[in-house]
Parts: sequence; C-alpha cells; structure tokens
Amino acid sequence: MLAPLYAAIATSAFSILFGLGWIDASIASCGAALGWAVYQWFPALHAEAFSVFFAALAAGLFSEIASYFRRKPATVYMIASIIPLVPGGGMYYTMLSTLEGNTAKSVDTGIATLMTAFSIAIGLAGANVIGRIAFGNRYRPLRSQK
Amino acid sequence: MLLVPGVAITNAIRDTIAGDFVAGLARGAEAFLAAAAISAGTGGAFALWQILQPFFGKGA
Repeated sequence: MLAPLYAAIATSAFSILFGLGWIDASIASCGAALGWAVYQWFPALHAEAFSVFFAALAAGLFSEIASYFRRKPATVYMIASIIPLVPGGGMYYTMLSTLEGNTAKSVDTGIATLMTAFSIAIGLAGANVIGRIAFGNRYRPLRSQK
Repeated sequence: MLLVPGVAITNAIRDTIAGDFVAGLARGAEAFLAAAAISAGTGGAFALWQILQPFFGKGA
C-alpha cells in the first residue's frame, strides 16, 4: 500500500543525483509515485510488460503536463520518473545466466528485460505524441507575453 | 549512474525509435558491456569464494 511513497522517496534521492532543484525533484517524485501506483494496481493481463507500458504512459503524461507548466523539457521529469520501472537487474541476471552456461534461463530473462524496456520506451513515445498534440510544442506563456 | 544499466537500455531504445540510430547503438552497446562487466565481476567473486572457502573453516 505504501509502495508508491517508497518509489517517490527513491526518486527524490535520484533527482539529487541528476541535479534537479527541489521543486522539480518533488514533481518528478510525484510522477514516479503515479507510475508505480499504475504498475502495481493495473491488472496483469498477459505479461509484466503490459502494466509497465501503462505505467510509463501515465508517468510520461504527468511529465508532459509538468513540462508545460514549468517551461522545461519533458525529459527532465521523464528520466527521473521511470527510475523505479527500468529493468536494470534483468540485464544483470541475463548476463549472469549466460556466464553460468544456463542458456534457457538467459534467453528467458533477456526477452523479458527487452520487452520491458521496449514497453517503457513506447509508453514515453506515446506520451510525447499526446503532449505534442495537446500543447503543440509550446510552454505556458510568460505573463509579459499575454 | 548506478551500476545496473536500466536507464541506459531504455534510452537506447528511445533513441532508436526517434531515428538516432548511431546514438541508440552506442548506448545499447554501453548497457550491454556494463551488464557483462557486472556479471563477470560477481561471477569472479563467486569462483574465488569457491576456492577460498576451505580456508575459512566449517562455519563459513
């Protein structure tokens, strides 16, 4: 139940590593909590990659909206928000199984890792497209421009 | 970044989708080599422990 909060705390620590300010770090942490909540409570229909796709889509849409209101590129929030979702350990287990000579386990883990990474990338691309349609490559206008 | 190349492999696929094939290939190779290096290091530690274990007595 508290897992999205933990994801937010982890992402706030990573935001310090990325050099974000405290407002941007808080926004990215909220995006990570949203993505993890979607990932956790979305029904796993066929594969893990399915819910990862919708989690990345939700985090990407949140990042697009934040980038419009904060007048910064959406990648600032996207990269920090998908930190809890990325399959880094899967890549390591793939190579460990390869070194142990367990080819079947290696191929199994490798395909699962690659599918998860593809799902995240396609979810972020879809969020980018939706943000481009909604905001049209513009940020929120400054007060002097009105 | 962290040792595990999670963000690197995701960024590689994002670059490849966006059409930047050289950047995607370079980032993918980086992720692959990082994963290979991590597993080689931990596998080497496991193999070394298999050799060293008799010297630590029965408790280890």
